[in-house]
Amino acid sequence: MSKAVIEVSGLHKVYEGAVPVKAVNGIDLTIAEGEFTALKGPSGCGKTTLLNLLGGLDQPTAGSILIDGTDITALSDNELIDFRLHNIGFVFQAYNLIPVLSATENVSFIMLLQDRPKEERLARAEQLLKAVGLEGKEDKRPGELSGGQQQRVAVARALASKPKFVLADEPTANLDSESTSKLLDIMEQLNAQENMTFVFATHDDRVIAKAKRVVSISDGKVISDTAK
Amino acid sequence: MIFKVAWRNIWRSRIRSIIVLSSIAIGIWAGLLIIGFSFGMNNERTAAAIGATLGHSQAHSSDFLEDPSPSAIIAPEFYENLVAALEGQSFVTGYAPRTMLQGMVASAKQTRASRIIGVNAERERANTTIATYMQEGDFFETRVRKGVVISEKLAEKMGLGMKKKMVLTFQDHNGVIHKASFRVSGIYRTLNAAWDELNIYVQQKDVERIIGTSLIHEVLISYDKSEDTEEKTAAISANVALPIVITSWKQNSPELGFADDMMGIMLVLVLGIIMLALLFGIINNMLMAVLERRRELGMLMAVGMNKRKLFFMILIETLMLGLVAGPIGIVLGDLSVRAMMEVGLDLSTKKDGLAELGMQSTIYPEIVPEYYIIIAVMVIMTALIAALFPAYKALKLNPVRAIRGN
Repeated sequence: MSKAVIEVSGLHKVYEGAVPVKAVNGIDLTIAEGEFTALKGPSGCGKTTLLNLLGGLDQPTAGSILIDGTDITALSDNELIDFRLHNIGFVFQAYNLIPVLSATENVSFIMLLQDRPKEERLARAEQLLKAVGLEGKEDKRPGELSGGQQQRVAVARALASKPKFVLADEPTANLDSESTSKLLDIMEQLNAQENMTFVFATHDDRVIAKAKRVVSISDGKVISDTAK
Repeated sequence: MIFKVAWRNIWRSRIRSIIVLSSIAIGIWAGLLIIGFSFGMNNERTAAAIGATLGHSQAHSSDFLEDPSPSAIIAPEFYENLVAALEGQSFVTGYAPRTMLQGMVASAKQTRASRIIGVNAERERANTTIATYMQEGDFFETRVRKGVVISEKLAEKMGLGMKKKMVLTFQDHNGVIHKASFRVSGIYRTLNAAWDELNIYVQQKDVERIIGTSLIHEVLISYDKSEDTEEKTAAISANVALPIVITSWKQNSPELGFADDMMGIMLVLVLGIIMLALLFGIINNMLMAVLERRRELGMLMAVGMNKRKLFFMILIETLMLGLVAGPIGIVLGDLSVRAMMEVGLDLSTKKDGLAELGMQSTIYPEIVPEYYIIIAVMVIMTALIAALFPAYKALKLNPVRAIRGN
C-alpha cells in the first residue's frame, strides 16, 4: 500500500458568530500518495473549508492534520507559508494567474519563491507547459489565453514547486465541456505518469466521474468514501 | 523577476500611474524652481549688499560696536596696524576707510536725520559697487568741493536735485557741533531702499576740513571671493589686537545673515511639504493597487510567498514610481532653471516692494547641485514611507478571503 500523504483525524472547524457554524464536524480521512480524489457535496457542505484546512490556509478548531508526517496545525504562520511553498500545489477556481506575467513566468514564479536557479526554472516551466498541452503559448499572458488554457497554466504552476500533492478547488467551475475534458485528461495523465496526488473539491459530475476515489461530504461530515 | 513584476504592475493601470508619476515629477520640478529662485534671490540680494555697502568684513573699534558715537574712532596707530594686517593677507583685495557720523540734513523743503558717511572716494569706488548705482552725476569722480551724494529716494523726499544745496549738521568726536552746506553732486539708487533712505556720502577730506582732523570709524574690507567669509574674518582678527574688532557681513547685517542661514532650513521645509503632498498621492495609488490585486496577493500568499517577499515586492513597486518620476522631475527642473537663468523672472510690478527688501525686480534663479541630491534622497524616503501602509494592508490580507475577492 502507498504511504499516506494526508492524515486527518478528529477535524473540526467552527465559524463563530451569532449562530456558530460547524463547517467541518469531525472528519477522519487518509489520502495516500498517488490518489486522485474528489471531495464532493453540495454548496456549503464544508468541502472547500476542508480543502483550505488541508492546504494550511485555515486553522482548525480541533483535530490534527499530518502532511507527510508533519502536523501542520502546530506550525507558526511563517512556517506554514514555507511549508505550503514546498509541499502543496494549489489550483483555484478563478485560475488566479498573475496577469502581467507570461505563461512561462507564471509557472516559474513559484520556483523563484523557492530560490531555484533561473535555468532550472525555465526548463521546468517549459516542460510543464508542454505537459499541459500549451506548447507554443509560453509567451502568452493570461489575458491572451482561453479559460481552459489559463487553468492548464495554473495546473502547471501548481506542479512547478514539486509538491507532495495538489489541492484543486472547483477547478472546472468556470470551464466549458471541452476545456474541462482536456484539463481532466491532463491531470489524470500527470497522476498516472508522475504519481502526483490530486485532491479536488467539486460538485462537477465530470470530475467525479474521472476520480478514482470519491469522498462525499454533507454538513461537515464524511458520509461516504468510495474507491473505484 | 520581482523587479519585472513590480515594473509591469506599475503599468497595469496606465492612466493612474501616469497621473502619480506626473504629480511626483511636477512636485520635484516645482521644488527645484523654488530652490533656484530662492537661492537666486537671496544670493543676489546678499551680493548686492556686500558689493554696494557692506563689504565682506568691516573693522571698527570695540567702542563703536557698542555705541556708534563720533568719538568711537579707530586711532591712527591702530589703523596703521590694521592696514598692515590687511595687506598681509593674500585674500584681501582692498579696504576703504569711512567716517561715520550721525547728523541732520536740511533742504529748503525739510530736515531729516541721516547717517553721513565720509569716504575716501577712490578706495570706496575700488572696493564697492556704489559707483555703478549712480542715477545722476557721479561718485566724486568730478572734482567738486563739498559735494554730497544722496539717494534718489532722499532727493525726492527732500525736494533736492543735482547741484542743489543742502545743509549738514553733525557732531565731531569731541562733541562739537558743525554745520556746513554741501552741493548735490550725485544721486544713487541701490537695491536696498532702507539703506538709501538713511545714508548720504560725502568725501572724508571735506569732513576733515570742517572738523580739523581725520576721523576713521569704519574700514570696509573686500575679499577675493565671497566664500569662507567667516574663516577669512577670523584669520584677520588673529592678526589685530583690541580695540580693533573685525566683523563679517553676517554680523554687520544680521537680517541678511539670518536670511542666508535660514535659507537652507526653509527650503528643506518647502521640499518636505511638497513630499508630504506626494506621500498621500503615492499611498493612495499603491493602496488602490493593493486592494485591486487582493485576489492575486491572496494567491501569492497561499502558494507560499512569505511576508518579507510580499512586503519587498510592494516596496519595489512604490520605489519604482519614485525612481521613474524622480529623474524626470529633476531633469525638467534643471532645464527650467537653466532656461530661467537666461531670461529671469520679471517681477517689475512688485518693484517697490522688492526694493524695500533689497532685491531687483528681475530675479534670476541659480542651480544648487546639492539640492538635487537632497531631493533624490527625499523622493526615495517618501516612496519608502508611502509603501509602508499599502504593504501593511497587503500583509494583513487573509489568503482564503482574498482569493475569493473579499
